[in-house]
Amino acid sequence: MRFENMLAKKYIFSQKRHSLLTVCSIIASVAILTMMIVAYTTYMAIYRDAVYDAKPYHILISPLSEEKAEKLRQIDGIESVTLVQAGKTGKTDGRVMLKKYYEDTDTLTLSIMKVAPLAEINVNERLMSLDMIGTDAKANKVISLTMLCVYILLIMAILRLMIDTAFEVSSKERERQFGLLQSIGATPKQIVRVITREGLMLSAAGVPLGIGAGIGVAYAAYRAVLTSGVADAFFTAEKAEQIVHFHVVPQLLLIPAVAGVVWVLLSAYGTGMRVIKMSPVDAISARSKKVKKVRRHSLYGLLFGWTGKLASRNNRRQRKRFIITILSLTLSITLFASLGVVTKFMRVTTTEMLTIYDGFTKASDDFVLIHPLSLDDPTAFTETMELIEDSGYFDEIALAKSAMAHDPGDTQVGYDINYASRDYFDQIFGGKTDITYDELAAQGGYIFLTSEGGREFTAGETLELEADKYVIISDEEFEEWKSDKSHSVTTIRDFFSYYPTDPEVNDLMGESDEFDDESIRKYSAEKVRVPVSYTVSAVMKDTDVLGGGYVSSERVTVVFATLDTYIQRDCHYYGEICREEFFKCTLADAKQYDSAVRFLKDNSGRVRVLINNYMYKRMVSTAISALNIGITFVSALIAVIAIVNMINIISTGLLNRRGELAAMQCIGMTRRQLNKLTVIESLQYALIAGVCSTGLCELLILLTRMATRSVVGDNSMDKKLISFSQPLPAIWISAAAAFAVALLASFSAVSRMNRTPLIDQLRSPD
Amino acid sequence: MEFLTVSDLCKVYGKGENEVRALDGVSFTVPKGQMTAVIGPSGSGKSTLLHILGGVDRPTSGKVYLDGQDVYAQNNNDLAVFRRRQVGLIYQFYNLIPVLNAEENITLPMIMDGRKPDPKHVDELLELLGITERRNHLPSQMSGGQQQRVSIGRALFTSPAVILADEPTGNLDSRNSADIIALLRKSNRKFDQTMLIITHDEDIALQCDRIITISDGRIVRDELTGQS
Repeated sequence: MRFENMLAKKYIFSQKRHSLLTVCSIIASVAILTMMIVAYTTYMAIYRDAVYDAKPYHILISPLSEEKAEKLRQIDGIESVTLVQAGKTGKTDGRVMLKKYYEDTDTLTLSIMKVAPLAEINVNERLMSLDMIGTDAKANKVISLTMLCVYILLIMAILRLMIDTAFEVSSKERERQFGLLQSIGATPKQIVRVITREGLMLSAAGVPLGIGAGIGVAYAAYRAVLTSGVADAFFTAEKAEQIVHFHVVPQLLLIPAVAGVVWVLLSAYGTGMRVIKMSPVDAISARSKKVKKVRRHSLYGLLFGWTGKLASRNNRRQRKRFIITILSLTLSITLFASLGVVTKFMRVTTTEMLTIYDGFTKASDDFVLIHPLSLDDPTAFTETMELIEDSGYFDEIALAKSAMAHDPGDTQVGYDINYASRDYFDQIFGGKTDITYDELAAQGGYIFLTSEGGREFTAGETLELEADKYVIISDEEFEEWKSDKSHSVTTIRDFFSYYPTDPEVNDLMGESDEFDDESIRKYSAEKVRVPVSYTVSAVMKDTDVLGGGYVSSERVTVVFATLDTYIQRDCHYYGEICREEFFKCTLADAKQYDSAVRFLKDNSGRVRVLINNYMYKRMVSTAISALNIGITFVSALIAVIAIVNMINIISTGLLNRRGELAAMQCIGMTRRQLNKLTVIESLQYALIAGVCSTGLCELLILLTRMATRSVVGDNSMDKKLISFSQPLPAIWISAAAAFAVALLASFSAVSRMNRTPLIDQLRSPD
Repeated sequence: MEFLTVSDLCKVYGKGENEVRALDGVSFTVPKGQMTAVIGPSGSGKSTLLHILGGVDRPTSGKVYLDGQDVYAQNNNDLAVFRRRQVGLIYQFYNLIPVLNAEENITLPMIMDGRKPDPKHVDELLELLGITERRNHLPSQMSGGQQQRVSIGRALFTSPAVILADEPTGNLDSRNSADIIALLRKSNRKFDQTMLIITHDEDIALQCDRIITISDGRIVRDELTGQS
């Protein structure tokens, strides 16, 4: 053993450059694995804290008295019971936290049910699952650990190549020495032991440094995420500070530590086995590794002549490495290219979702607000509008009041009549109509929008139509009419029942609570038709102003007038009463979002949030950012592996052929021809990876389109989705970057080699 | 008529205490078509001399003229072109390109020069070398003797002005050695090629026209064998 240790130490210190390269490879590999594990544990901890923050209990018992809480505290499996005030009711709720990893939840539930009835128990299953509580805890744990292990094994397989190559470079230089050692009596086992000892000594330095570097880089990434504001967008800035923390589980760091040592031992052992397979005579005389088969026909030979043929054959000498490098390069380029594709896809689909939500709402709107219709004061909305304007939180405040009208005696032909504020008018017609808001207001007229094949109108004509009107009824009438089947009655609350009432959703959307009882208005659902005349001031196609599709049917004409006309014509009683007055606006300053929402809540008596697009858009945008960060991180990781592999394979490839290249130079190969050879070898990597990435990306786009078509069932989505040509520039720019890196590696290796005289290179082992 | 002129050639490796004079004022001339053996003990400077003559290694001082041309007045690129057109190098360990077959290895210097090999010339040379059946074989699929024949073929193919062989039979058995020397002799006579062969084998040296003996970087003996 002393002989092996002594020799291993000597080799480490005599070949400082190679030792350093090997240690760096170990550090890089261990650091990448550590980084991924720390990222995983941090993410899981943040996720758990976020879930806990939303519902800080495993079980909520509502209501719960102090006496019952004390009984609960005696039950095995319960960690704590905290009593909290339940709103303004004066009652208390009990927040129960269970012991982590507690399995027998069936017995526990039965015990709790003896204290509180089932109807009062609310279980936070997500938190219980994250805390590994329940009968499925073990299974979940096994599944999650298995998934983590499979993931780690995959990464490890690729990362091991880095260490492998470093060992190969280092041992290649010493093949002759190992041959010599064997010739003077060292047994093959001793040679293998020398190399594995060397590996162990190097890993003693590389593994701790790698773990440190991994934690350091992960922490830097965590700080970058914090300062980028991504976390603030998911939570609020205040919550982000409470929830988003860097989390390292020391026990899990054993994985990269053990993996690092195992990698090194396997690489060293593999290298040792390869070295002892050579006969001592072959090693001493530096006889080249036999090439037994080459491709006879080569595309590169046709394109670049003999240098192309030679380059292609050289690249395929190390077939396994060549394939792995091409695969990792392809994956990395595909991920990079898919960044833009995914972002566009999400934007397109999100915009589509926002625009199809409501004709009035566009993706650019941040909020849609409701102003409860005041029957006593039909123009009360003007005060609300002023209130919104004066707050300074909002821009582009638009208001649309709508009504329905029909041709007299024909309810099948309808008119969707909208009264638009100046901002809304400008948003729709800005610059596209001959008539201005003021002119239209002065005329008291209407703009008629028709679809293809819809009814024709002439400017100047006056239409006599019937507008719908609902009748408000008193509480007594409502009660009486409700039981009378000849009438149809309803309340304003029915309208709101269409919208989410889940307090969590409302809270998330920034909406106010439900309307209180006082705001319920009762009215007859029976419409009264009122004759009204409408003057056609302008006629337009909806394709000219709204991009088409706005007018949903040939039987419906969309009509626009100004709010001034609405006020002047005293039209307030027209239209469906259940249709509140909708405002829409954009947020003036993103930083004042919280203040704006607070303002809306404070003024919920006048205006309420119907749709909080801003929050939705911000979440989507944040999700896209997070996705981008994730994809960038993963693709950067794979790119690092691919590039290191490529640099290694090119460097070792050239190093292994040092004698051969020197021989070629001796028989007349110029430096330019040598460079051309290396350029083509590098080009081959980039081209093959580029072609494979193109194929993969196109396939992914095709599959995405097919999946979207089957889910959405709308062929028109295809046009708005990703074009097949979109990822091409990104792919080929990435491939060009890979080519540049490969070139640098080649030139650097050739330049290093050529510092040695040709005759010395000739003598070096092939 | 002197074809190769070597004038006061010196090659020094290392500096100060570590200085080694591999060649120390070597001068000689070789007429065209002469087959010269260079002999001497190990470390005497034979291989260094051969590499300098072949334009592979630069001398510390002194001149080498080939057909009146100062070899080391050229830049590295011109020197590479000089090597592929004017010099044919044969090594003890062949130094063939493992991914190229016999025919491709032989024609490589001409292809590097941007010229198209004449298939008839390739056939003739393969015939002369006795490896016609091995033309499509990779180096790893050939014996040492066959590989050395390919190496000789590569050196001869461009009809260079001078052939330099560094122990061409050092790695071969006696039968193959005799064949290789006979082949070189045949080529020397057929194409009137100037040849310098480094060898340890006295029998091989005696088959050449002239024997130059080197010791400690100096020529200690220069004599004609009477073979010509």
